[in-house]
Amino acid sequence: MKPKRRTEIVSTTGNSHIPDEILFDILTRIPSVKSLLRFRCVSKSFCSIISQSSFTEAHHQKGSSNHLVASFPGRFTRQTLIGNLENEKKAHKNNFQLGFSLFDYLNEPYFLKLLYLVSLNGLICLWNNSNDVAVCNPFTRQHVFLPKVIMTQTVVFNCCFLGLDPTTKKHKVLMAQQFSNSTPHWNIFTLGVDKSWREIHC
Amino acid sequence: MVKLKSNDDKEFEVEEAAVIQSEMIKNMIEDGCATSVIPLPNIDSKTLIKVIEYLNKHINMGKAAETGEEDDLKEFDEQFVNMGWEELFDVIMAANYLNIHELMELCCQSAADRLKNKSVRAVREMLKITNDLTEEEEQEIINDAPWAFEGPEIDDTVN
Repeated sequence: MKPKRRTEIVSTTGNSHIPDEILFDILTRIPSVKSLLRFRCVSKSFCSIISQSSFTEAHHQKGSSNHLVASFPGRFTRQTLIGNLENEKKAHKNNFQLGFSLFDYLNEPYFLKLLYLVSLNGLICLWNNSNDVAVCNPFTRQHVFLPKVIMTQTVVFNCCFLGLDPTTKKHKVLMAQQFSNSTPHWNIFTLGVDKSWREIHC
Repeated sequence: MVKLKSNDDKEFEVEEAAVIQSEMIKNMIEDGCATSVIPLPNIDSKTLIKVIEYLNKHINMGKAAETGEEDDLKEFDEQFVNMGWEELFDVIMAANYLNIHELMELCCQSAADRLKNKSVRAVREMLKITNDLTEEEEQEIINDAPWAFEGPEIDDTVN
């Protein structure tokens, strides 16, 4: 039997006797992103530890869960990726820590019009040939729709690529647009930085 | 042999080969500061006994791979972390202070395994943390990812 500790709590700052760097180490070892999102509610220091970008990075390095989605190179339709994930899920067993169905998530109404996807570092980029592009993080269930690229001609097909700039740690989406009568147009969008697409010439 | 003294004034003799797994003591020995007893004011004898048990077992870690004793060591580690929650944190604090990397890894992993899937309330109680978030702040975090706060796997027990 453990004694009730509530009356012994003397800390008013919300910090326990455990130093933040040890807490940081322990929390990065918890594979479940769902648990970590919940633990932000424990206290101010928990929230700030878990929310910092260095935490995400350390967690990513230690955990095997995020590699799941990252291990699918190339372009997929939603249905193929989900099929592949199911296989991967069986192979990894306990490491599959989404805590909910990726299938259900990718079939949310706002994603339904997006037909293709690529993934990198646990992020998924979805798009279609009508210039709709979204980037989502299935682990945190956050998503963002990117602004539309202004078109002067009809697109035959679009293809998106996800990349990571290792110096700025920012993810970028590169979109190739193929028109019926010309060479592809390339546009790039840096997540968390750009407000609109920037055309680049290759 | 190196002599270690716990904060409740108990002395322990440990082989140098074992004790130098502690970066802190290794540095002290290299700097010639470990000629007599090394006082460890942050560690009680109960915790120090556990740490020494670990150091003695892991003394020939490098050799273990060659002699096929890896499984034995793995089993020892599994048994070793099978201790009370409070005790585990005493060992973590000691391993942090003595800078014993492998022991730190082992115990932090065990702590993480035990915290995983716990409810917010259970985590607060286990780590003796007072909630200093306002109701509004708390609600904001919940609204940000309400799905993370519900599910059959969430464990509200404290152990």
